[in-house]
Amino acid sequence: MLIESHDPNFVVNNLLLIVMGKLLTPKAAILLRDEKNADMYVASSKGRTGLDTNTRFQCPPDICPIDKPIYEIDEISNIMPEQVQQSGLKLFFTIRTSTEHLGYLCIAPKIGKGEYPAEELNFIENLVIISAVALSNSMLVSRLKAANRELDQKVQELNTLFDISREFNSMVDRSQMLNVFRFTLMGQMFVRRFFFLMRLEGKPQIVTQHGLKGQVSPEVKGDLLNMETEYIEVSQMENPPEFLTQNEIFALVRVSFQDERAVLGISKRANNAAYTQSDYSFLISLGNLAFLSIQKTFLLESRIEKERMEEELTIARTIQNMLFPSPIPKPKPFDIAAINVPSRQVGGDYYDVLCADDKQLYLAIADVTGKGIPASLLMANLQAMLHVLSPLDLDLAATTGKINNIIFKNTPSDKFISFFWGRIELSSMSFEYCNAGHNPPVYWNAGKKKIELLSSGGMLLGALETMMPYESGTIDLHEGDIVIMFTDGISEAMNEDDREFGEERIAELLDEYHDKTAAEIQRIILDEVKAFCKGNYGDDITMLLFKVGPL
Amino acid sequence: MSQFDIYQRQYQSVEILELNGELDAHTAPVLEQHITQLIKNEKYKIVVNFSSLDYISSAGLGVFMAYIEDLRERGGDIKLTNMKENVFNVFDLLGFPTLYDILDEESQAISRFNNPTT
Repeated sequence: MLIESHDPNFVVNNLLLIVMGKLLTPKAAILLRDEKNADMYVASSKGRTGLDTNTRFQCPPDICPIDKPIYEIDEISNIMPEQVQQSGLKLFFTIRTSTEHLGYLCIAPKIGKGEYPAEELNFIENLVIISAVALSNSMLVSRLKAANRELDQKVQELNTLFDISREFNSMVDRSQMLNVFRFTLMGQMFVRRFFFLMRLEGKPQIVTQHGLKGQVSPEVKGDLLNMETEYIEVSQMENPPEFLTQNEIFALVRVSFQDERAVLGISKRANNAAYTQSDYSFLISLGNLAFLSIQKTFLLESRIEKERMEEELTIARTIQNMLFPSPIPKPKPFDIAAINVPSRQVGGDYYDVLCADDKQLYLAIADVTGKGIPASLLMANLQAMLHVLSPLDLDLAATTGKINNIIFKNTPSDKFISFFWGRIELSSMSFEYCNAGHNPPVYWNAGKKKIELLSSGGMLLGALETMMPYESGTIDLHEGDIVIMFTDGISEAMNEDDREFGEERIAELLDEYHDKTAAEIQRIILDEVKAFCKGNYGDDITMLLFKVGPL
Repeated sequence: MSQFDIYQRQYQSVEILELNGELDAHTAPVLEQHITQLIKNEKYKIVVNFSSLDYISSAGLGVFMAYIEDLRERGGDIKLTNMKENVFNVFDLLGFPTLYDILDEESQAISRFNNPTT
């Protein structure tokens, strides 16, 4: 029976019981060597030896004597610890096979302090020889079983990683993903409490957890993310945060990808089994997988968001285009050209040409500070006002003051509009204008063959409430006269030496090319600007110009 | 995609969940939903019958982990029965027999609920 058993404990226990029963021995124990740890342990102990099963003690393998079948305690006291020497065990039978020294069977003197007769010792010697083979075999079997189980656990870990990565790949929903991660972690590691901390939108946040109580401050979360080792057990930390100790978090595992980091905190296993190096490696792999998959969802979201924004901007651009006059009214004798090129999809520049009752022609140009959507909203606001006001034939300067007050109320203090507008009475060809802080338009006076700048007006719209009334200027238009209105995208276009194109250059071009049509002059100026800044327009570009034809 | 169904029955005060197919990361949320629903309905005595379950992954085990404390605090439990060998092996490998009642037959689990001392 001894020989057939594959259970080392069974062999050990039976050996002891047989010996004690046959020989009337009051106490006995079996000490086994552990080659791997180079020590010895109490495999079993019966009677009052004072030795606890599984107690381990040092036993350097090279000094263990094995030559004799039986040793007295005095002969081997040098390798036996105090506990064994005090145990009352006296005779030590060497348990060995032909290749292996397994340990010792130790017995106390017979009840009544009698000596063991020689034939009894002989019997035990033989019994020990037989048992040694059985013990050796059964120990081999249990080592194989342990190795097998370890292998099964590895396979299970791999299956788990495979299962979860397949699932993550098919998912885009973050909360589902975190849920699957939660179950997988708890199931595989046999834990009931954990948390997963990562930085989201700049803030450290616990993205999923189970069984945790209490709040944790952002500072503590930030500190945890800065942990220096791949993993650490909380008991080894110098001053572990209360959050960890209160929730019985046992270990922290760091996960990192490029500059991003996450931390996984886990409690002890529900059966208190220790974590091995291999468990920590698994946790790092699992954490990495979850971390990357979660980050992927954010990238995906921001891409979707970006696409949505782009689509909206395209629609906004279409709407803004409809706010510009099309076609541009061109009542006789006017030759009019205009262009708007926003530097982004939508812009803050504005021009308009309105013909009221075929009696008056309004021309306007404006530049909202800033670019993009905020500027385009204000531009739309201004456009609406002009379209309502222009048919009413109001006083130009006073109306500018009213517009300023409305813009001032409608806008934050850092948003302004530079604005120029003018009204031509088609019957008299008188051009009244008001310049609210805009780059002065350039006026070519064909009769005098000279350039003038149209600057009468007042300050920018939206900066302050109207205190000083705006002024207006008036010129009488004649055949050949040209007025060019533009925004600072043209006058302030920069070359490589950081020099601006300048209003003077526009005046020079006008001096040279005033015989050309409005469209030609516009083309010439735009080409010059483009060549000057090598196509690097820093701002929205807008120009509106008219030339007076034969009356 | 993995196939997974749950048939739910009641025997006296015990709720019985019969699992069919494969319980993995993909199907674990289905089981979770059943268990949370039972807790919501104040049904805390649950027997899970594994006789028709062919495969279980760690994520499936995690669902039991997530709710066992909750149920026990409310005087209930989850008892697991009728496992195929490959399914039991996963539970065993990961240490679950120390924390869960794993029984051969559904009837044993029910009688344990009715007679907690035996």
